[in-house]
Amino acid sequence: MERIDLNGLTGMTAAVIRQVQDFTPFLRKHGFRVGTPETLTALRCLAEADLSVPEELLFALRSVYARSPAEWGSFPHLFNRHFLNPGTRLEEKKRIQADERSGHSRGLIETQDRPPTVSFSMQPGSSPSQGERYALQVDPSQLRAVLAVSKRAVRQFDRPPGRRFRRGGRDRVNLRATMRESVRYTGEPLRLHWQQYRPDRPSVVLLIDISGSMKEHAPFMTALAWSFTRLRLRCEVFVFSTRLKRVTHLVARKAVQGIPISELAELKGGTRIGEALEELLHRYGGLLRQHASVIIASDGFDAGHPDRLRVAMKTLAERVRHVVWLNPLLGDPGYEPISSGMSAAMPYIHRFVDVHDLDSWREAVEGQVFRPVFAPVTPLTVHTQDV
Amino acid sequence: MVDDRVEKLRKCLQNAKYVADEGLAMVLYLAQRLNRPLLLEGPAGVGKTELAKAVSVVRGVELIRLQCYEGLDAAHALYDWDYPKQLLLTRATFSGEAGGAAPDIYTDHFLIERPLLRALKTKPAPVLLIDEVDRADEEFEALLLEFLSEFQITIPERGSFRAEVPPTVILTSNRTRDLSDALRRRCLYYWLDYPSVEQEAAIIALHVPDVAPTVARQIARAVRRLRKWSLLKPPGLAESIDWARAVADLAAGELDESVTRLTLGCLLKTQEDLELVREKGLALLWNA
Repeated sequence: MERIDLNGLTGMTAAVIRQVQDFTPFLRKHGFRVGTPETLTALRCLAEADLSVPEELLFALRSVYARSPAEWGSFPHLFNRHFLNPGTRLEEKKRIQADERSGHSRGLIETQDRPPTVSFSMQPGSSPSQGERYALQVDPSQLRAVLAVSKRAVRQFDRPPGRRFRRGGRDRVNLRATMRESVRYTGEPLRLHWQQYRPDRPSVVLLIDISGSMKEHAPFMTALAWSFTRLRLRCEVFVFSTRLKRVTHLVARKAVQGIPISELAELKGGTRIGEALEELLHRYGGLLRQHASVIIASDGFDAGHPDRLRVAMKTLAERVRHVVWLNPLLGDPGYEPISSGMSAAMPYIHRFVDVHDLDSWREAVEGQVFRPVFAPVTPLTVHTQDV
Repeated sequence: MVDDRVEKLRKCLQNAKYVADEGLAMVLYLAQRLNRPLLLEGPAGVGKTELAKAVSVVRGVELIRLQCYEGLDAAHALYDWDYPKQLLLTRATFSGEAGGAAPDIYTDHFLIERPLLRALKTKPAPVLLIDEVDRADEEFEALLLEFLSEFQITIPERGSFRAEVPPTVILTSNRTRDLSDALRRRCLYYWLDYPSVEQEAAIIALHVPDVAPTVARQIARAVRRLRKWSLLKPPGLAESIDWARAVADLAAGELDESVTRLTLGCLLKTQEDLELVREKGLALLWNA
């Protein structure tokens, strides 16, 4: 708990103290979780700093108020607006238009004719993009719900032995616990306590198809990826269309709006799942460990050669614990996985499930889809909702 | 003047072979003045741990390091009791060999000081480095809270130990997981990113005096380019310095294909990254 310490504050005018007091709620409006303790620390910092040098003030206050790279990146702009440029108006929030098929336009940015708003608890990353191609829906309640369901999913993944885990052999006595209890019995260790070994975190590799046909599902899949990075997992996130790109560092943030379009410049339209998987095997082979689970989120419409996809899937399935394919079309009435890409991949998929929104995600997790299947990869062990 | 004191701190760090910019020097100065722990976050290999070492050299005090890992608990970080010794005394007492009086087995004689307790008791106040705190569990973070806010440790059998002069505490994190807000609130924060080309060249020149200034700049530019290539293990400052040492040992006046090919292992640490760089062409490195 911060103690109120007025030593050294006597040199500051009431106007300065008021400005710092007003700065805290101003930052809260922009997603910073700060309060009175930060204000007090900031005042103590200002007592140490030279108030006539703005850079020095910025360095001092940034270390107090910022708590993440995203906040670190956006702080100078907010500092300038509050202390150096008080006349600046709020910029209008840019909104993403949804897909045409759901009755909206095609993902272009438009500005609304409405008063400026600041999105609740969402904050741009350290390099905010002017156009978020696959932005999350700004719906904190859904994010929390997705996270809650993903938490349940984590318990199902295969967990490798921990760092100090020894299978078989003699377990180690927990001398601390044994001794504490033995004191009650005049130093006689009547009951031995054993060391508890925790298994390691599960490894998950998540591949998200961001081709045009998956556009309407991209926000949910991004939310899913984000939720995986918030849990006790070793999670690596990739997106692919014609090529593969690792985006873990872009998604694994406390406040995330999506993946800036500039980061996806090298990904062209179309889908080549085979080539993307080859790139995964070739460049990121170290992630495909014996206990890893690979989750592919795609509708399976592939423009590449089916043989390349088949060979890549076969190699992938042999190297990891199990492969789960999330197909957002599987819940559509009349859909059958008979496209060339899907047909080539099917023999090497352990679980094949419909996930396209929160409800289907909850249903999939309740159906224990991430429990490893220990049957050999071939012949086929496919689990569909209908079979 | 604060400016002078911050500048003096920068110069002292430079003498300890650490190049700090104004912002970092300012935050370090504030952390010491306000007795606040400093949380450093940033990519691996940008000099977070080195900063703690440099601060201990500048202040001329001991560096106590607590390396965090999954499963780290109070018994390894705060304190522990010497149970075998306690057990022996208890047995001796009850068998009549130690005079028969009820023994006090919770004295300093049986207390094993772990890094956090040692940091509170050591004089002069040391620099305590809690390295890679993100690798520890959430439970350990909760253990740290009392220590970071009060510089105090409570031992149920003995009461509370509080530091007369608080140690300088530096926590580092590579963001393998998010730290709790409670922990962050107790610290000043600094995001330590990769240095600029000029800064990196200066750091290389400081650590490898034998390397020519033009080569140091070439290396800094090449490493900066590599960091943009989405490698599995982007090269940090340590790799830049290793590479510069290797180039200096080969007495190369400049980077070229043969030197780069011979020394690439100093820079890239995975087969996948090596292959990617070779595919893109080594020429991109010395022409960066």
